[in-house]
Amino acid sequence: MVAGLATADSITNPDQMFANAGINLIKARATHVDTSKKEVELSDGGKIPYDKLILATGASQVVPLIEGRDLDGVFTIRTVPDAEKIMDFLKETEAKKLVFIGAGFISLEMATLLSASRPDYYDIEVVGRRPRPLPFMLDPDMAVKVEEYLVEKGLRMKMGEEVKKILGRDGRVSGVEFATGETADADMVVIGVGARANLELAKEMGLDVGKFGIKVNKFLETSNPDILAAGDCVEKTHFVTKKPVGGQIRGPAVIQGRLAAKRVAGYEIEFPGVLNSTIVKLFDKTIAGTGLTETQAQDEEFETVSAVVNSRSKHGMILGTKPWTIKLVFDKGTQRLIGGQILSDSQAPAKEIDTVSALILGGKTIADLTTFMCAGHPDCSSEPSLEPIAIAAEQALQKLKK
Amino acid sequence: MPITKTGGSGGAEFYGGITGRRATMKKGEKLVIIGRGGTGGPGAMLSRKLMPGVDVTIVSEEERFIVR
Repeated sequence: MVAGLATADSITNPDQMFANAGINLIKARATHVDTSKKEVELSDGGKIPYDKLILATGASQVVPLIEGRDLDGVFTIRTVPDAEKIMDFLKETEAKKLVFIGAGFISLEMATLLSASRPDYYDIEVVGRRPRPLPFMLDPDMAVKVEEYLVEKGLRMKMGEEVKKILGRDGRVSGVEFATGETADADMVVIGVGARANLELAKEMGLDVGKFGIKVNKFLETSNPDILAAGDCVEKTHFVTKKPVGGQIRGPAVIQGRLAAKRVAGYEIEFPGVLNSTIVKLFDKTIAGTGLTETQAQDEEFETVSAVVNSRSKHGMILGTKPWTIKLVFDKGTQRLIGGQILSDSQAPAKEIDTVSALILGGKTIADLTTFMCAGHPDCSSEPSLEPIAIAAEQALQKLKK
Repeated sequence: MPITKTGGSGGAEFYGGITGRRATMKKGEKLVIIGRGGTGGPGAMLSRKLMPGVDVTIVSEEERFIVR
C-alpha cells in the first residue's frame, strides 16, 4: 500500500461482507467483560450478552524506548492508518533519506518496495541488531546471500548495530545515533522490530496469560471454559520444540480464527502448534522459511545435520529458468526434518516451503525424504533429477555416516 | 482456573444433530467475537456457516482491518 501497489479498500475486510453474511458488526471498543454475567461492555456504553466469546484482540507493534521515538517522521507499520500516515508524510515532505530500524521481513519488505517504487530516489539504510537480516527465518549462510543482494540493489545494511537515539530538529526527525556514537541523517525513520500480543482485556478479565500471550489449550479454550482466544493475542506452542512461543504471523492467525469457530460448533480438532512459516519478497528474490533454523535448533540443544541444494525453476532447456536454493535442517537424533529455508529468483519455488512444512508436520525422516517424489514438467519444475528435497535428504544421509 | 481439555458447556445438544462432534452452541445462543482482523473475520464467517441458527456478533473499534 505504501509503495502504491494496493489501496486501503482492497486489503481490508469490507463491513458489507459481514452484513451480507448476517453477522452483526458493532464498531466500538470492548472495555470490560463481566464473566459472571457473561456480558461484554462497550465504549459506547452498550452491553451485549454472550454464551461463547472468542477473543481475537490481535497484537500491536513493539516500540522500543528509544529517545526521539515521538518525533514527527518516526513511524511504526502494522495497520492501514499506519500505512496512510507514512504515505502522507512521504508525499508532503518528499523525504529522501529513510532509516529502517529492524531487519525482519516487514521492515525489509517495506524498504525494498519503497526503493523499487522510485528507483534512484531514496537513500535507504536498514539497521539490525543481529549480525544478519531475517534472523528468525534464515541461518547466517543463507542470510548473507540476501544481505549481499540487498546491498547490490542499493540498500545500506548496517547489521549488528543498534540505534541508541533518534535525533530531531524543531520536532521533526533529522537522523539517528548508533550505539557506537556514529550518526546518520534521516528524513524519516520506520521502526519494525516486531509485535506483541494485546493482552489488556484478557488480563482485566482474569484469564491466564503467559509470556507470549493468552494461554489456551489445544482447542483454543482459555482458562474460562466459555471463552476462546485465537490469533496474534494467543501464546502458541512450537510444533518442534513443544515450548511456548509468540508469533504474529498471518497463517496461524487465520487458521486459529477458523478453528475457534469449529470448536464452538462442536468439532474436536486440535491445533498442532506452529512452525512460524514465513515468506517475503525482496525486489526480485523470494525468501521463505519454516520450522527451526539450524542456529535456533542448536540453541534448543538439537544436534543437527543439514544440507543446502541448488536447483532451478524449470528444466534447463526452457528459456527463463531461474535458480533457487533450499536448505533443510534435520535433528540428528531422530533424523526427523525440523526446518527449511528457501532463496529463489522466482516466486513459484518458494512455495515449496509449504511442502517442507507438511513433511515436518508429518514427522518425516531423512530416509523418508530420500524417496520423496515431485510432480514434474519442463516449464513448471526442475528436472526430476534436480528436485532438491530428495537430494538434500541424500546429502544429509551421507553426512550421518561421517 | 486451570485450562480444561474439553471446556465448553458439555452436555448441551449437538448442534444440527451432527455426530462426531462435541456438544456446544445451540440455536438461538449468542457468539461474540472481539476483533475482526485476520482471526476474528474468518472466525465469524465460518461460525455463521457452521451454525446458521447462532447469533454472531463482532465487536471491533477499528474502522478498517487488514484482510489476511
